[in-house]
Amino acid sequence: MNMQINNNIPTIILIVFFSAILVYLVRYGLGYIVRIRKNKSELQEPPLKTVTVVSCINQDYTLEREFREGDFIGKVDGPCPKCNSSTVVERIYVVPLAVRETGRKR
Amino acid sequence: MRYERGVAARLMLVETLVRESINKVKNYLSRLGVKESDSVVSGVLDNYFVIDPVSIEPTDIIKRMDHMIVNNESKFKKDLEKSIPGISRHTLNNVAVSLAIASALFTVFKVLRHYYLLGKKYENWVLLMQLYLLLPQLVKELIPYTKAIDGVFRGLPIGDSVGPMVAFKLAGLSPRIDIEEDTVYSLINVEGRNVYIVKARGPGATVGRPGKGVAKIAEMLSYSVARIITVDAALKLEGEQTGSIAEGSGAAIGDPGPEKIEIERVAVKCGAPLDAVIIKMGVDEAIKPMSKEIADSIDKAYQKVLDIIKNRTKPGDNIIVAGIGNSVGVY
Ligand SMILES: [Zn+2]
Repeated sequence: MNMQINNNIPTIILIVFFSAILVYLVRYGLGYIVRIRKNKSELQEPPLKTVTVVSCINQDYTLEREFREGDFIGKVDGPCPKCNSSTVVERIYVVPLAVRETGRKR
Repeated sequence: MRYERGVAARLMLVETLVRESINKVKNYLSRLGVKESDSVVSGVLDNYFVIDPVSIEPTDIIKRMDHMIVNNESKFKKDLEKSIPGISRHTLNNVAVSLAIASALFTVFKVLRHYYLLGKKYENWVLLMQLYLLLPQLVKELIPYTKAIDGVFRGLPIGDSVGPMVAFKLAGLSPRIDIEEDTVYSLINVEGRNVYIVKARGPGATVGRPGKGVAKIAEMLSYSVARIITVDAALKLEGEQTGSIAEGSGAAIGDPGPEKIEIERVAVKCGAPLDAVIIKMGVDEAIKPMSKEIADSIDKAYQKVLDIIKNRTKPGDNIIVAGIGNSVGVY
């Protein structure tokens, strides 16, 4: 009985050792794939949203809206809903889509 | 071996980026109604280089340099006009800048490929190893340029447009008077002072010739100018806050030399102090569409310029303010 257990010990150690190596290799391989994916996603930046800020020349009205083709800073953009004088595009900038809410609060 | 494969893989990435941006330009061109957009783009990629003037004989070097830069630019724009008939000046400027970006990207790719093939040909592992170590940083630095092409074509202000935007905030919708090619000025009154505001003509993508514009205005005023203020975007050091404002002396303008020297010479001739207001940003932020952070800094820079005008000049003085930078998307 005792002899048999003693014989088995090296085998068990070997099995444990090889399964540890196997687990390590699998994890390393997975890590490598994940790293490649991460590298690829780094090339693609988060989606951006372009905001146009329009304000009235009498400074009584400001509107933040989506950028339209043909907008530029200094473009006269139609009448002001409050005092009916013209509005002008004051600012155009991009914000990441995710933090758009914080941009809106200001 | 490991270096060679690593370099080859990353070089392929660079090539994809470059091809992608060239295709973008081609798409935009065909959207404008250009039939042979392929031949237009390929005609630009390898041509229009400028050879540095002889520098061991310094007499006139800046004039010679200016001559070559101006000639090359007008040749480039005339050729473009010929291949895209009936194009408006501001669309032409947008196309020219996008093509210049694509051609710069292509040049970078060609140089990298050259060193890679050289390293492979002579089995120079040191060369390949250097490329292997350099390329990850280069790829990250090249990406903003591909993004910049979209922005320029859509007419979005970029980070470098802060100078013209401060000029717009000063001048408002007052008339723009032509003074030089692609360069305009407006005259406004700030508490009794005559302020001449120089900027590139928008909303097309151009930097204009602000140095020559300032020189012409000073000449027009028979050199009685009390102060010259330049506003420009400047590269920040890593760790500095984007959009922070700093003030100093000198001409804040980043051209190869001809425009800057013009402003300096005029300032000396008028005996006028030369103030520089800079807005700090990273090199990628300067060419990508403007972020909110930078847009918010424009009010501060505007206030700074107003403070300089109100505190350091007297009523009745003539002052020149130059908003330096690309006026894409800014009237
Ligand atoms: Zn109003």
